[in-house]
This record gives sequence, C-alpha cells and structure tokens, in this order.
Amino acid sequence: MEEIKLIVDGKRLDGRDFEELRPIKIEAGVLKRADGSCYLEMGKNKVVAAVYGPREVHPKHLEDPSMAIVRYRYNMAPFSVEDRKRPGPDRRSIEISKVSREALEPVIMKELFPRSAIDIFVEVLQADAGSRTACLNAASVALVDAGIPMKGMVASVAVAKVDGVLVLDPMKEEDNYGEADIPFAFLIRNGKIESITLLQMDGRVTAEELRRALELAKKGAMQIYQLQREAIMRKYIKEKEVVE
Amino acid sequence: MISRKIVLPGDLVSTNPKTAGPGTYVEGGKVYARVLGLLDKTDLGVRIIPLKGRYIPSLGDTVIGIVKEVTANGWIVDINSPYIAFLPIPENPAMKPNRKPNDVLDIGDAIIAKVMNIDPKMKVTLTMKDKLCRPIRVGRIVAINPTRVPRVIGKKGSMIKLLKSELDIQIIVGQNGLIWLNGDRRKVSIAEEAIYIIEQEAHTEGLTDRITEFIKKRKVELGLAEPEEVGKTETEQAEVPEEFKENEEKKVEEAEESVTETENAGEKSESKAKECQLEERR
Repeated sequence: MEEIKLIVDGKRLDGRDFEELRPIKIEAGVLKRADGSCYLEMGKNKVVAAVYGPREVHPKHLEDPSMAIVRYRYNMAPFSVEDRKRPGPDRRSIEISKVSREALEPVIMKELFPRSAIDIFVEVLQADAGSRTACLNAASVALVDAGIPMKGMVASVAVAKVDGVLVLDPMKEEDNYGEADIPFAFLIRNGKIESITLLQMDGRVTAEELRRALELAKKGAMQIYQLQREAIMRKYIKEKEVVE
Repeated sequence: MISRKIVLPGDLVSTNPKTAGPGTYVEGGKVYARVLGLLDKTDLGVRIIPLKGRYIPSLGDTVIGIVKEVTANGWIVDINSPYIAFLPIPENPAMKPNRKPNDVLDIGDAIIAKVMNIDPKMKVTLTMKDKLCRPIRVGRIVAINPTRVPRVIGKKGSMIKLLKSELDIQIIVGQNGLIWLNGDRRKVSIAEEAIYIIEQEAHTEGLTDRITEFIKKRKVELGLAEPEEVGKTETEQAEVPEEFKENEEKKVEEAEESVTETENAGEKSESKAKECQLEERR
C-alpha cells in the first residue's frame, strides 16, 4: 500500500493544496425539454441533471395527498468508467439515489404541491471520484432553474484521508488508495450553512479528524455555493445582455 | 421601470415577517426567498416574481385545456399543470339532455374554461358557464411558460391591447400559459412570434416598445403594411374579425348539429384543431 505516494512535497498528485477544490464548471438550463437542468464538471466528473415537475404522479398509488413526492435517479453511463459499467440500476446507484433524495427532500417545499411528483434525473457521463457530490450540486442548480420552491440550496463536497492527511474533494487515485472518504452535503441559506443533509463515510477516521473534515468540507461547500449562484445568475443576465 | 434584483431560494429578502408576500417564506422571524425570481420590494411588502415554474390552478382563472378523457358525467381536461381538471356535464352549456358527452366534446378538443373550484386535495373543477368560455375549433394555440403570462397581458392589459389593436386578431390568454389566437393567418403568425419574444425577454425592460417596433417591422416584411396600403388594409381588416366571429359561431353550430357532416368549414376547423395540438406540443 505504501508504494503509492499520494502526497509529494506537501502537494497532491494533481498539484493541488490539501484544501483546494478541483476546477468546477457549471452551466444551468442546458436541456430544452426539462423544466430545469444543469451540466456540471467537477474535475474529471461530468454530470447532467434534469428536473421535471411538479407533475402528475405515475404510477398513481405513489401519490401522497398531503405533499409532493420527490424521486431522484442517479445513473452512470456505461462509458463513464474505464471498464464498461453494466447499464441499469445496481446496488450502488440505488443507494446513492436514496441518500441523495434524502439530502434534497428537507430543502424542497413539498407541502406546496400535494398529489404531485418532482422528478430529478442525474446522469454521470464521466466519473472520477465524488460523483455523488457532483450530482447533488448539479441537481440543486437544476431544481432552482426549474423554479421549484426551496428553503435554500444544497452544496456538496467530499473530504478524504490520504497518507494521514485530510484533503478536500478527492480525485480518483486518492479515493481508491486513500484511508477514508467522507461525502458531505449542506443546506445553505443566505450564504450561511444551516444544516448537514448528507454525511456518509467509507473507511476510518478519529472523532477529531471527522470534526476537522467537517470544517474543511464547509469551506469547500461555500466555494461551490458561490459557483452555483453564479451559474444561475449568468443564465439570466446573459439573456438580459442579448436584448441590449 | 426599475431594474429588479434576481434572487435565489434561501436569500434573505426582509427582516420584517409582516411584509412576507408570495414567493417568500418566514423562518425564525426572517423572510427568505423560496423561488428563483425577481425581487419586488415595496412599502406594501416583499414578493418574488418567479422566473420559472409550473401553473398551479387558482380560483377564477381562465385556462385553455385539452380534453383527455370523456366520462359519463363529464370531461377530464389537461390544463398544462401538475393537476388534471374535471369539467362536469352540468357546467357545459352546450350539453343538452339528448346528447352524448362525446358528441359535444371529444378527446383532443381544446376548450377555454374557468376554474370553478379547487378542493384541498387539489381536485380542480372547471366551468364553461361564462361568455368567454367556448370550445376552440379555429385559430391557433401557443404555449409559453406560465410564469410569463403576466408579461403577455401587460400592465392593466397594455401588452394584449397592443397586440390586438396592431394586428386585429382575437386573443385569449389562459393563465396556464396557453394562448389562443384567431384571425388572419399571417397576423396570427406575427402575434405568435411576438409572444415568443415576450416570453424570452419577460424579465427585461422596455418590452412594450420593442414589441411595437417588431410588429411594425414584421407587418412590412410580410406585405401587410406597405406605406401606401396602410389605410386600405386596415379598413379591410376592421371588418374581418366580425366575419371571423360569425364564421366561428356558424362552424360551432354546424359542428354541434352534425358532427359527421364534413363540410368545407368543418374540414378546415378540424385541420386547424390538429394544427393547434401540434402547436401546443411544441
């Protein structure tokens, strides 16, 4: 295990600092047919999110008379990883769909749309560690773009423990050969982190390290939140400029 | 008009919970935005003008719907919303005791109706007992984002008046984002283009002036308003709407009296109805 050095001279393999995010590119409203959509690149991750709704629930028996139901589908394209991924839902993607849905549910004001469904589809075109965080970031922007009432926005980032050091937003090598991987998602309201909506952990860290990881993730999430805002603003300000 | 700030969900818009208006929510004594939209802050309160979103029915709205299903006691109507609507037989004045519901309105027919009732489970009931309400057999239906409907209507109906007076066509705007246009084909096309521009640029300023310019330009391009012919075409057109109205009523009556009879007018209206559907899908 120790043959692979993930940290050389205080820098990570891709030259980043420990607290540095991968380059992020966000574009809102890329799909015409969806109510809201978003294309997001987070390092080598490339994901597309589409939001439909609120709309009629099919099949009918899933309907909730008191609030909207939220459905989240995380799906990886067969070509998103080096070895071909067998298409269709598997144990991993079903789990990610569930936790991601639960991360978004408290943010969406479901009680405003009884007997309806809000469908969120996220496709991973290219995966490179932390794809669930990339998907959540994209889904959050797509939800805003769809005009769905929400308490705030969700920003998500992972922290990994690599060679005994906590690093922000791990890439593939760090994820595969690191000691721990902890994805976080936060509800951000008015530029402040209000609560944690997703926290998973793969590997082992001490309680103290987890505390520090949380602080690190908060910093990263705030940067992502700013980029998400800019992406949405850009879409509408661009429209404004075209007119002038 | 002052340029309004774009706000995102969760942005703090006011610290006085009493001012909270549509598109906001209150938590911990503070008012936050809950949708993406433009911030409208006045002395009366704070509200967010949404930029995106589906149509949520509200009482008394005029809507344009497509019949999805015919049942023994009414019609199920798609009103371009998360909720389907129901038009009971007694609420359609065209329904006579000796007629079957599917002779009056069949699947795929478009109607203009009003929202009569919404129950807490969001079951929507429509009525056609209003002089505005009618089945649509001629003309064209244009679909836009429902949040942009107020801009198409304009302040106190200024935009819709502009379209009507400049183009001499009938327009009925459904609150659900479907708009019915009827009149001269070329003029309807101009109106359609104008409506799409309004939809696209709804959150910008000086829109009415730009639309006026656009209509004038298009009219000249389509040869509807050559400088010499202006007076002539307008006098001609002034008579057209009434004829159209008459034709339409006749067609409706014909259709009611003998549905199987395929007269020229009937055929036309049928093909137009199909056109409507296509438009709508787009």
